[in-house]
Amino acid sequence: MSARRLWMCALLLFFCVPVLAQKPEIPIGVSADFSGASKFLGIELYRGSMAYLDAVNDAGGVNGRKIKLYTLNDGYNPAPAITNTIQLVEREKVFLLFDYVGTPTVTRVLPLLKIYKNQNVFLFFPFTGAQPQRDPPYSDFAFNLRTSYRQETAGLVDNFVKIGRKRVAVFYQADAYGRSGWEGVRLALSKYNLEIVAEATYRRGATFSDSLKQQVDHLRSANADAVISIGTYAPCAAFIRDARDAGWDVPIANVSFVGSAFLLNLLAEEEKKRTRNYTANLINTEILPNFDDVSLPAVKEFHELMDRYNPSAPEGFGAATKDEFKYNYVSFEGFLNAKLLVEILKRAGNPPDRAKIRSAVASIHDFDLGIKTPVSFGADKNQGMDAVYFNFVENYRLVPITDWERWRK
Amino acid sequence: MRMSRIFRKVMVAQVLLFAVIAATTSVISGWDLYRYLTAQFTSKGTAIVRNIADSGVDILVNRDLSTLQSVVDQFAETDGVAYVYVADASGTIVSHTFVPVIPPEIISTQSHISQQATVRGISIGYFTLPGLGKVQDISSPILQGKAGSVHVGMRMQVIQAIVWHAIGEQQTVLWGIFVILRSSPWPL
Repeated sequence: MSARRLWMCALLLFFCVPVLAQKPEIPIGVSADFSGASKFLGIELYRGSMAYLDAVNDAGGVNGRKIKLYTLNDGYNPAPAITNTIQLVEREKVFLLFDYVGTPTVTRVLPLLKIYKNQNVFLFFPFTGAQPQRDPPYSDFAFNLRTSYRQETAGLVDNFVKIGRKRVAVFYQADAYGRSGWEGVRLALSKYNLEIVAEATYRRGATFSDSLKQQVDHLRSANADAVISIGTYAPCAAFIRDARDAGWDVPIANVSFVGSAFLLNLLAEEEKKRTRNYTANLINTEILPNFDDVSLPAVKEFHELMDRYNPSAPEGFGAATKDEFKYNYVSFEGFLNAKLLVEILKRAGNPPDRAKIRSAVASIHDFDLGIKTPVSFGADKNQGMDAVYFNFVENYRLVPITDWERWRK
Repeated sequence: MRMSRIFRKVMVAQVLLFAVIAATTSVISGWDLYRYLTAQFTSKGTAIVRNIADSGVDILVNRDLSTLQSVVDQFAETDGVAYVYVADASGTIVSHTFVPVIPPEIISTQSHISQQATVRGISIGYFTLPGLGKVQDISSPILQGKAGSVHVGMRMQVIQAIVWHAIGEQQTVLWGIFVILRSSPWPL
């Protein structure tokens, strides 16, 4: 072989070997709201996940395979969520589905997962606490990290009843999400032989500029002494604004899905305009410890990686996230979702095998994500955590509730 | 040029006669259309009610209410549907599409309707609800009432609007023809 040919071969090897050695990516499908009335939930969940996945990919990926998220926008509407899921599974051939947002969307997608059961297509860590993906017949196709709405609402009812606030009203989104929370409150009250004293609803997609006075008047006329809201940040903030404007100052509690940072931001801006206190007597349940508690290893890591990567919104939905939302509960949840997903992928074989996913998830026992709350799955347990954290608002920040007596009736 | 008295009388008689014919035809065809559309609405509502009642058995007995709400929401998107709600065996409304509140008229008559539905199978009633107008309420028991009942409200205003629109079009065409014929050079 001539020296020239040897040089050619060497050059060819130099350029081709890295390409050949690069293992295929692990494609992961995401359908969430990136443009609608709840877009901050979808965008922040995605950003939190990307902060962790960027770090994993920079370190070489999972067993040499980088993780790629394929994101599609469903605008928090069921029909596009179904279309997106079909596209992700059939056209993009994603390995699994991840970080879906919302009950009305997820509940409609679940039957599709059953149809794809021979392909072992699983949905990981949807941002919803509803029951359908926790109970048969769909519990086999979805894995949840977060606590359920039933647990969140039960915690609220237990505490309200303890402090003598037994006339509980519910304000909720008129769809599967709202119904899930409504049912949670109803079940929790029934333990004390109590009933929901009044209920009022709003249409999905309502905005902060909408008037919710009718709903406020209806619940107030029932003489409710606490309100549990099951909604998204904009209409829930509008409800609080209208209640306080009407001089109704009962405790109003929101659940984790509300997106507390965005709710508080809307109310804080309104306070500046109208010199009225909209943030008093607000309670919020969260399913994670405080995202600012840097004594927790996962929070420290979350801050570091969010600072280092500062992920942007999915391509085409690039509204910059304001500095005050740099860290929030939603992105923290996305971060932990990604962290646990990577651990599961590591356990699902090399290369990861869909058929091994179920056993990989079931092998997660007392796993430490770095939040002092162990995560466990099992053959009959498809929800990793059961913790509920209660916060109230002080100086526009969520602070853990240590004493409920301040709201005693 | 002055119109002769006899000619004026003939013309008034013609207009009156034509008005009677136009009104009679419109009333008859409007009534037929109303009956036909009402039957269609009833049939559509009954199909929805039966569908939810059949699928709702399993959901009400075995699953959570958010799944039921998902089903209810899908049917609520159908044209002409004013509301859908499901009550459990005790008459408590456990899933519905009302915003901002369940109308008091529905709550107050709920137990009565449930009993009717339980006894008769498909049952049809009429309500006038604020914001929705006249509504045809079609209900059916779920598992012979043991699991509750399902109700679908069909918006009658939609039918009324269609009928009035059709009558308006018919009148326009008829009077248009009349005017054209009257202004033509040939004697009628």
